[in-house]
Amino acid sequence: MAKIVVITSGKGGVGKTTSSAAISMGLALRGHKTVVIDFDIGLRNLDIIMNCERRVVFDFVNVIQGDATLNQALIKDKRCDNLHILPASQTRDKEALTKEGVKKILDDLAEQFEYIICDSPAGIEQGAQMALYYADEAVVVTNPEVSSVRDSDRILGILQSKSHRAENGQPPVREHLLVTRFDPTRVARGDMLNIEDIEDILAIPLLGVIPESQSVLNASNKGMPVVLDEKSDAGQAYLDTVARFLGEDKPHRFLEAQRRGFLKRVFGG
Amino acid sequence: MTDAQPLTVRARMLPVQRLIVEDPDPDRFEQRLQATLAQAPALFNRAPVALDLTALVDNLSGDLLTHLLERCWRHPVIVFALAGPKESLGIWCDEFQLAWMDSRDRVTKPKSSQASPALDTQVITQPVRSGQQIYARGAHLLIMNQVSAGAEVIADGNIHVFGALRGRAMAGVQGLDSAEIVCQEMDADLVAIAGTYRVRDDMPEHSQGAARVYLRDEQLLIDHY
Ligand SMILES: Nc1ncnc2c1ncn2[C@@H]1O[C@H](COP(=O)(O)OP(=O)(O)OP(=O)(O)O)[C@@H](O)[C@H]1O
Ligand SMILES: [Mg+2]
Repeated sequence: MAKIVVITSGKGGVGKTTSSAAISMGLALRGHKTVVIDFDIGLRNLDIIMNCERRVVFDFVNVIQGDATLNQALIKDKRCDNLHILPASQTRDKEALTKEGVKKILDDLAEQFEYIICDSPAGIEQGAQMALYYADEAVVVTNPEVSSVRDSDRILGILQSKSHRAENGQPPVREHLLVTRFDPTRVARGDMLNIEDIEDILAIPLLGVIPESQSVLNASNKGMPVVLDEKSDAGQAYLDTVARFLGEDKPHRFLEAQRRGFLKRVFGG
Repeated sequence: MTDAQPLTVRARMLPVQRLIVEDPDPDRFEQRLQATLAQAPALFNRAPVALDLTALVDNLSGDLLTHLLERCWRHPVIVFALAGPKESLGIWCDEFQLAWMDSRDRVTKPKSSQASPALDTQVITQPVRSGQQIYARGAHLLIMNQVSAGAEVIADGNIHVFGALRGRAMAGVQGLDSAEIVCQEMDADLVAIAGTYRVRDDMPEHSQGAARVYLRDEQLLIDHY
């Protein structure tokens, strides 16, 4: 049985697309046939992070509207055979997505893939609700700040009440917390929430903590999911996250601030 | 007709919302009605409502009343009574086939005993998340989980939260002032009983932990355990 996993957050710009790219590549590297779908109609950028924007001919909306077949629209990743991307349309509007249309595509994908990762648009409106509607599992991406946590809480409420599983009385969507852009120094200063606070407020299991890292920007500029940069802290944190998602027991890393250098310790700062 | 049995009469304390109309302009009335409904949709959905016309008795007319009622019908509120002085409203109640209610507060409150009326209990097992609203109409509310900041839980009876209460909780909203709010961890934005409320800023600081909220002599008290 294929698993449908939505990467969602409520708030914009917290790292959903970065996480979708990293997690889907991570799963594919571990040998699982994975497809990642960009639900952010009108604002394509998953394909840029995946470095396949120049290969997009047909998109998600074309398939829904019957202008192309699924296999025409799916793009195979050049670095990993197990990974495919279904890009969003830049030109259509969000109304093009219908529940029936999305269901048909997910059913077809489920025959070919083990994991279907849905990169949700920001917000709690129709676009975000469509991305999470058929999910079996949800990765709720949160930054360590109050507004982001509040929005995640709202999305959890929608998963509980408006998903297909909720509406049909099936077992609830399995929820995972992914804290991204975590900056231990700012947490220590009290500028940001710490992990315990976030866990306490949202009360769902912690899947991973991704540090704030320059490597994310570097990777996305190169059109490379950050997990391919195995030396980077964020890349390793995402690989750990994928391992935990697959059921492995891994301690959380990168929660402490780096030791301050000698000069800084002497001169303060 | 032979000796037919009379119908069984069952008296019950009805939850009734009174909408107080102060402005005779139908458009402005509807705007305010809409705002009210938006705040608490669950409270009004198909609930019996009385229009309190005390402020308007001097310039009431059939036309004005027709306009006000028509505006109500566009929304999911069901006006079944007029509230206000009986001398002035009696004729209008007859003409519009509506019931009459006293407009003084808490006429429906049982006066003799402080015991809660026998209410059902609505049980919620999942967390109540930001943006969600739950209203236990004619019932106590038992929540076996947390109530997030930005969520709202409302009951005609008591509210018990077996978890952190971080949002807003309003018990006894139909005027039951013996209602209580009990929670395992008190971190609420607002608590209210029978319309008497306290916001976070008015609560003592460092008052986390289990708590019980209740009314004594019109004062909202919060005990910590
Ligand atoms: N761990 C991180 N460290 C540093 N920068 C990050 C990290 N995660 C994401 N970013 C940056 O934050 C910005 C937003 O990330 P991303 O596009 O993944 O967010 P999103 O949630 O998909 O946004 P939207 O809501 O617009 O779809 C990007 O510039 C990205 O490079
Ligand atoms: Mg995005």
